[in-house]
Amino acid sequence: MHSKVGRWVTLMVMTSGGVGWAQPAAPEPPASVTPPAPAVVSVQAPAESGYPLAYVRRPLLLPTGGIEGSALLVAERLPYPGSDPTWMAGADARLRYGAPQVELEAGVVINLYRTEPDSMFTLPDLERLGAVMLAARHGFGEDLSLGAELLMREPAGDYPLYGPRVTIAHRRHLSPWSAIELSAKAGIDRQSLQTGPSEETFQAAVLAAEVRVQAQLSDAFAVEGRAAYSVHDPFGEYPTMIGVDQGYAAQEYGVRAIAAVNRNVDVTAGFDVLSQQPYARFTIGLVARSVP
Amino acid sequence: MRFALVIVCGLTACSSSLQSARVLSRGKTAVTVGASRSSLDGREQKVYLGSLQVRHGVSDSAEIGVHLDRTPGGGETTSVLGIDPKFMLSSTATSAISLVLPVSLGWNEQYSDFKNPAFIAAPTLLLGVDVSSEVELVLAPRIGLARGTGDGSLYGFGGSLGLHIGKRGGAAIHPELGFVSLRESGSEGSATVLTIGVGISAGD
Repeated sequence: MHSKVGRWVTLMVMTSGGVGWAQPAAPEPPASVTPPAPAVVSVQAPAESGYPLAYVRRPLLLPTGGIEGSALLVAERLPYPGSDPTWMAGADARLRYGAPQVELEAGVVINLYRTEPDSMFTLPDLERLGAVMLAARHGFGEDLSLGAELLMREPAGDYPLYGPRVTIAHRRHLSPWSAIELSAKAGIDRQSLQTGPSEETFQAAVLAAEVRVQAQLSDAFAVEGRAAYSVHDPFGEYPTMIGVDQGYAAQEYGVRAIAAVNRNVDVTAGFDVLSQQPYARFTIGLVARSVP
Repeated sequence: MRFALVIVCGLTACSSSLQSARVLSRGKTAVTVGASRSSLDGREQKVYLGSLQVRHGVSDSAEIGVHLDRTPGGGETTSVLGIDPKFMLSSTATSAISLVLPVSLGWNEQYSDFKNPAFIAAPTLLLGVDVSSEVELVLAPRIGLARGTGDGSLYGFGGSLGLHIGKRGGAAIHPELGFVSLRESGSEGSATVLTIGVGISAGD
């Protein structure tokens, strides 16, 4: 059971596109007893040239010649009924490159550490290479992209899972300070599993959609909430994922903060909730880029 | 005293404000995504809940919203889907009072099996005071009623205290604390649900 949960953790890390930690900003104390009148705040975006400092005004894909690397430290808390939760820690590293006409991305999840809960269950060895992801996307303007991804979960393990996807993403700017990003993926999960004395290959359809709500609270500080919904195996072809032989829907939610140190460096932090029981993921990361 | 999770989540979802006490201007739209954690009577067991809201200003003093709240994860899920009409009762330069009338349907689903439907209503008063140019303090007292097929009727009262931070172009973050005290019809027992949550809004 735990093994399956752990594998899903890895996949969700890979499919989430990076997550972050929302630090609810503490309100500044009022300057006087009398509340000030609401300020008239301009909705005009500040004029700027080059790659935008503000997260919500950046293009979906890197400009041609741009390169970006990111590293996330990931900690996950997996509940165990009647026992201490398991904590897992890992790293999610990614590289994006803006080639002519297409953006290329590669990512890897490395599992670094896992606590051993006081449990009657025997846990399998930690699979160090959690996942590998490759992607290519073509942009249509700054706010629409079509692409393809390949997820490889536990590629060095006994039963690697391969998940090719076609992807589409669109960012809609609601104002200079806020945007929503809608994306969808469709593909299959393919995995060989031991079924009794023999090994059998299973294949299941996966459909996923995600909405990201992006709010630029200051020139350099943004927050993002995301809600992701997916349907797995609607045709009941994959009997082992969670112990049932029928499809199911799943969802996860996350909040993260993005602080731009400058146009080339961001610091991110966030959390995601992955199960109604307190199964959560916490991340902190650094993004660095060079854009011509 | 036992409550179906759908009831707890339903009242928790309806008890979360994650919004300003002001209504959106006519024709304006806001989308909010939030996540919260609820605990029942301080028990060790906690429940996460995710929320997606879309609201639209229909007049200078009213807006209509829809919300979908679902517990994260796969397999067994609790969902609450409802509408949130909101009416401005009073407004000054630094404060606002509005009334929200969320009406929702909740249910449990396990794969393709849908069960435990419940009707949930939670009239809420939103009292908002600006504490700075970009921060509004929102107090939201409410009463709640839930009627399910398996657990009879429950009612409750509670409230939330939150902040609406950010007033530039519809961008905002809403940290919030809330509680709901639940009682079962014909029973003397009660339970309290404590909630901590945060929402992110984008709008035009």
